[in-house]
Amino acid sequence: MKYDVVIIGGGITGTAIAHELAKFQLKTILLEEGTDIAISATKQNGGVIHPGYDPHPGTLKAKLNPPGARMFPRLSKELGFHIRHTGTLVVAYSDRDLKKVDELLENAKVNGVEGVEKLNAEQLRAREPHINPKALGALLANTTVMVDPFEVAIAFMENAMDNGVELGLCQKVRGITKRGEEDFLVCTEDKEYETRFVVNAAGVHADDVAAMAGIHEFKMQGRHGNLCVLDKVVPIHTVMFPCPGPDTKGIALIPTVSGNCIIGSTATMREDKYDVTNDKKGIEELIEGARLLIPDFDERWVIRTFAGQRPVALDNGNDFYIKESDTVKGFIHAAGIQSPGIASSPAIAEYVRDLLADAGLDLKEKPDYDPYRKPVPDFSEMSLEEQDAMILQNPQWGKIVCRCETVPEGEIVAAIHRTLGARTVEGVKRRTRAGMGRCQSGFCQYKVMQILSRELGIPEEEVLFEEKGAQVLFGKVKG
Amino acid sequence: MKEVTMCCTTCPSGCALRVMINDKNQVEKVEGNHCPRGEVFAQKEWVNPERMLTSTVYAVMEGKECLVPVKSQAPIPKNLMQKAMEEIREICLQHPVKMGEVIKENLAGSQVNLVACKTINNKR
Amino acid sequence: MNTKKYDVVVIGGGPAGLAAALKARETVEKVAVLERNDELGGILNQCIHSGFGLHVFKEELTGPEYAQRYIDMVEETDISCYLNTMVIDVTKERQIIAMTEKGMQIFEAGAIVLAMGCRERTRGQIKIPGTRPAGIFTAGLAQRYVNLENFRPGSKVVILGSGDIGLIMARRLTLEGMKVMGVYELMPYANGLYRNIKNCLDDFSIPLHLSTTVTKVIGSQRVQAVEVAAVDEKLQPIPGTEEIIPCDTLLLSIGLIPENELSKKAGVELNPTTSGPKVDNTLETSTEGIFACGNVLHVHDLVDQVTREAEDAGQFAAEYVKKKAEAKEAEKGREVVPAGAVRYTVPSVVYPNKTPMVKIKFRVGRPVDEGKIVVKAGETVLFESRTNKKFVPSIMESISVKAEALQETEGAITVTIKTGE
Repeated sequence: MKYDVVIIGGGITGTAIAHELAKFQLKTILLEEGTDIAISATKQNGGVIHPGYDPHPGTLKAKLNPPGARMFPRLSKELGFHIRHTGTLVVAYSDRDLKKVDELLENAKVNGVEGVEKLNAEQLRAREPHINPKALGALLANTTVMVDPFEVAIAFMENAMDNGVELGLCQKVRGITKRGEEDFLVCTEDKEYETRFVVNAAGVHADDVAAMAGIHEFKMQGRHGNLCVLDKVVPIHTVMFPCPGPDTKGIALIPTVSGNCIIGSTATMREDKYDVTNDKKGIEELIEGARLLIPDFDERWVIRTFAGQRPVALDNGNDFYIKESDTVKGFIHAAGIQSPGIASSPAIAEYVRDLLADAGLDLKEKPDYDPYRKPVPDFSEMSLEEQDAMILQNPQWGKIVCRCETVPEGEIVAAIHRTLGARTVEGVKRRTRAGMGRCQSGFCQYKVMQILSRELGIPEEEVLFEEKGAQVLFGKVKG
Repeated sequence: MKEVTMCCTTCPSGCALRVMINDKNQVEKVEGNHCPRGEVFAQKEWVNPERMLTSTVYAVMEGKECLVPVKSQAPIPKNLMQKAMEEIREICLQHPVKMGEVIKENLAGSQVNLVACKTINNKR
Repeated sequence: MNTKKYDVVVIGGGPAGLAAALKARETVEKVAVLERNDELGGILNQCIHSGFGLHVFKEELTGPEYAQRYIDMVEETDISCYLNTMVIDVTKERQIIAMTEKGMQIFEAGAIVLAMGCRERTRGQIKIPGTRPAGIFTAGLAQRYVNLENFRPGSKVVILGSGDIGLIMARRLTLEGMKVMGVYELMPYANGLYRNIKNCLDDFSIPLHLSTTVTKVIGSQRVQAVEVAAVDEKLQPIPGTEEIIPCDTLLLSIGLIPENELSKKAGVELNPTTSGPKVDNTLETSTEGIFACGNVLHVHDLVDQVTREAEDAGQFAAEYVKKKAEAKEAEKGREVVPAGAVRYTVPSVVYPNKTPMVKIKFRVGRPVDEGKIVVKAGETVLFESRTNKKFVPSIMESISVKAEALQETEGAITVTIKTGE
């Protein structure tokens, strides 16, 4: 049967669009090349829901970021993902910086962002006592919240699936043919999908996907960034940026939803779209940046380093590239979704919905649409009584797997048996935090492997780490 | 007469030994050892070095697979390691074991037995 | 939820916990061991190589044998052992909250002995650049897979770090049919025992590369290779010395860190050098009635040392429970300060009236070819070793000083290595 919409790419953009389209009487499928959703740019960033004080007025970013960000508190309640109110500080060290703070204040006003104010040095220190004593003041954006981007993407997709949207994993798109009016054939390695409309949310590969349909309207490149994850010991509560330079937002210290901190990120353009390697220089730059914000920063706080590529549409004024193709009707680009992409994603989804409607898609609301999603219960957040009751119901909840993050077996089993359940070691980690703590899975990986093997009904040596063809183990030693 | 140096591996102290070898290729004198075991070690090490072998053997107990840690009851000649490992790989235990129980006699023809290092009943 | 009361509760059922419990039981009636895993013995169960017990049992045992002996001893007593019991909170008032398959469980303890052991340092801590594919394991996790879980973690393996676990794993993997390409060590000296280098590497012709480190992980799905490079005296990679080593697995044996997340919950003050609690000469932490021993206190070289220390902790914890009723005279603690080549000491503070003998354990931060241990209080020399010896960071040193020798002295106690005249 023919689809109304095929969404290509299971990052935050694709899943947000899936979540939006799930509200309507449509046959929709999202195709993702990986074994799980949210495994590229979406998992490789800091998770700040920027309120929208910085995009230049008149850009798509300025149009979509503030309303997108404002939706998060409601979405978090409906979809059951974590959210943490932190606020953002943009710290000034010079008169030039203070001028920049004033500019940002003005910008916020134009973009319609509320809760933005200027702090003097004393107010700044009262809020964050560990701040560099050389700081002269700061911009404070009160409404900034933090999310785990992959948790949001999983929530978007799971809710979409519960409302009838399909998901195709391991479906790397190989070819797209426009056969007629509202008639595309999208081919993957092993399947074909007929569809009326295509939404291209393929991140840094969006130009390659467009080219399959004969569209050569834009070029994508990745802006590579190194990031560090810190242990839950960093004495700050607010997202902290230095004043932005001409090209980048600068190195920020970001308290995360889970109580860790992230330092992010460096920014260099890369030719190779698959290059998500860390580099030594970049990591040093991060540590230096963190030390500029809080001079008593301790390098031993680092528990993990990683890197990502933010999809940048070239020659597009650093803006999002969201529009129907000029040459191929019914083919919608949701491309160039760099920062503040996570914050903008729900607004991008509505914008794409409207573009689809303009292109001829009939949007009839589903009468039985359910906006709510129940997350996997989080043992570490329960009260003692709740924990006790949970274990009495099912003893698996009393069996520890990940000691660093207090994740019991029951939580992992629950994360596997869901609409969009975990299938890989990394998938379990993203859904439950098992393996995300200070031991970085040294103690619990073998237990996660046993559980995945048992619950999926496959031998342990077939359990994947993350990607297809990348098993954790190489078979038995004996027997 | 020639002098060779070797590290005594009898205990974790790892004494650095100076070993005098006479013209008949025999150990004449040992220096640098902090205990008498160093001399015994040097003798053996020069003529026919021996090592403890530790590994695991495969076991199936009540339908459940597991590994039982094992060791050679005494050091075995280094040149028999390979053969010993091949023999160990062949074993499949089907019953509970007690620590010290002989799993295989005369490992690789060394006159040394392979013994279990752990008591394993049906629990694990 | 019911509450169970014990005189002494030991958290951790590894070698430290078992020895502490046994010793405590000699003095007090009710002792419990809380173990998070499904068996006692801790990490010894996966250390199937021999080399344990030379001091305690005067014979060379494998890890499981050493553990079994203690398990058998504990089973002959009425010590309560709670398996699959994960402590998630400890309060200053010595209340312990644990999760078990039967529900949440509360324990109230007259004294607590912390014996949770340590964890391995990970890739994140040394920030190895490159990709993050499958095939990177800490040496201990690989050991678990090979020795207990019956799985091969890879086929062509590079090992970073020459700590004992890494060396032992090089031999284990080779014996079990995997290929170890080499062991790479950042420092100009090996971190493991000399006999392990000989028995685990030399015997199998596995090369050890000193002053060399892994500078990059290569491979997007599974490890395909690592880039290694020589380092200069500041431990920085030397450009131009890079070499690509094809492999499918990278094992990290780059050190251990005491695991003190629970200790922090109980308000226990930590020593930033060891990452373990600050303790006094009775191994009591800064939180009254909470003691620490074994690798949770500081990382030891030999399990025998852990056992001895744990016995002390068990004894002191039990004595604390007994004496609690008696009035305690306030005594001023004397700080113990590492100086010169000495990197840290345990204890960090001494109360001379608490014990007749003061045991001081320490490690150097860099190798010292020839020197003598000197312990001073102010200008008074309390201890000086008779002969010169060699000191290396991988070997823990231990000495004892009579507490009464401290009586006429004042100020901090310093521990240092005297070299040359």
